Amino acid sequence: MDVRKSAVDLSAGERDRFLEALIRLKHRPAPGGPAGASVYDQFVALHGAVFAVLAPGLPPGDTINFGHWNIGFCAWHRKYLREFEQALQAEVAGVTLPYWDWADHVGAVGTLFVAEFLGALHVGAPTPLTGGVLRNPVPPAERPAWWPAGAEGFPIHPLLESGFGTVLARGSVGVGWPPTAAGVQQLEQLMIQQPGVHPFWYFWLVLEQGHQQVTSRTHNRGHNFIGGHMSTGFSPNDPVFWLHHANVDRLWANWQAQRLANVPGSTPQDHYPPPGEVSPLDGDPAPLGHRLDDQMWPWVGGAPGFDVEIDPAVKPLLPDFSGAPAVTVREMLQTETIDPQGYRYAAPGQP
Amino acid sequence: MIESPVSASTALFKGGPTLIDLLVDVTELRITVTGPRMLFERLELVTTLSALDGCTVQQLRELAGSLEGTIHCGLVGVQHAGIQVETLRSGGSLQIDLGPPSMYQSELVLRTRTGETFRALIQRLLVSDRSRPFVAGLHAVTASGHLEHGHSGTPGHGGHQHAGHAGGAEHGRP
Repeated sequence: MDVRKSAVDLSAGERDRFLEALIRLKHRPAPGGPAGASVYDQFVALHGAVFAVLAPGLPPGDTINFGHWNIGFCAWHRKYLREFEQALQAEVAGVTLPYWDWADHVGAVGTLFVAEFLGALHVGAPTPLTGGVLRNPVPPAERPAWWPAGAEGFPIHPLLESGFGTVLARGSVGVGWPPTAAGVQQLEQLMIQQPGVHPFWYFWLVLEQGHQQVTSRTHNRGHNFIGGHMSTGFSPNDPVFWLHHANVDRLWANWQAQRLANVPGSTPQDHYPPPGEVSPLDGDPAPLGHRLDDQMWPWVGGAPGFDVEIDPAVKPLLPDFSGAPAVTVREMLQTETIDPQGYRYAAPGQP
Repeated sequence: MIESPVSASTALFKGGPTLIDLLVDVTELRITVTGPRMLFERLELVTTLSALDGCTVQQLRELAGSLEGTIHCGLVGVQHAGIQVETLRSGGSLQIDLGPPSMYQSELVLRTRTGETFRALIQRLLVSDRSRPFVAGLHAVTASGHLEHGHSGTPGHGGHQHAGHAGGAEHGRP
């Protein structure tokens, strides 16, 4: 079973193998993709495309965001991260995604946001990175021993740069961060009880969007705190994305474990809204792709009738999952059985 | 003597409150906006006061000039937030911009220029009879466009407006 650790608990060797896998994936030519596009870029394009998916049966012009703004946010990103992690493992065997433990800000600033790892944070308007291995280019004299031959740096694909250019940009603009450990713990244990309303609706809402009665400093705030490319629909351009979302996924896994422990005899699907339940937020059932037995685009087994509304130039960058089996939300409810290998999270401080 | 806090925080998010109380005893409001221009288009002053009470277009303009706002958004850094009074057939409307569209979040920091609390400023500028009870707040106007279509994250890129879209709220499906 794969184990995902807090980024601050990685050994120098584990950190470097993760970075090496990132750089190698950034230079792995996209199968079937246009010249110059990498497998890494395909993942970035996919995240930008998921906002507006045209699905069979929708009224003309209507689109679905399969990955955000509703309860499927958790399951879609769990699948997305797992696909990415396995792509990294194809580059460097045994690598797993570390997570960014938001509550350990001192550790993150001292260990994660440094030149030797993901590069520094930048205070102010978005500005290109000037240090570390995620620059483009990295001067030959500053390339670490593990640097893959032929790689020049960490270029942002021109079609995915969102106006920031082809060097990774960041800019932190004075929004409140980090969350307190107490706030995160409250989220992990969140249990709002209302008649006819499954508590997961509120857990997801706070996890993705924040809520001042629990903590506003969650997923969305983290994107805005990093800024630059991380604030855009193509946010996976910044590798912080993967560590940020690994923590999102960890908090969901922790919440699920709490619920299973607190309700003896319950199963993981008991802790997800039943398919027909309407949202307490908009009065509608969750949209296609977000309900328990829905397939999640792009993992729809090659089913016809799906498309995306995105810049036509970006479409050729999208990865082809038509030959892969369809995947449902239900299949994403347990990290340990998500696939034959499975994964789990090591608690902070447990390397 | 106990000093009043100078700042208060609130947040706009899916299913969250759509009215922000302005009768507060602070000089700064930090408003986290989920999905600016995608979920929420702008903020508008709503009040039970009328021009007869002192809430004239001229006084609304003075209020707008007595406020300053900045948008803190990772897309653009820190940007001035437009605060203006639109004159409509139905009367004046004080409106506050939310900056560039983002599918994640930005933060609007709204301050009084005079150092008065929001409650004191509004009472001074908009109310002739201070003994009269009233309500004043900022309404988060729901966005009706589809800015996520072709969204690249760049301010001003992509998307289109669906003013006549059935339901009129955000996009058809989340």
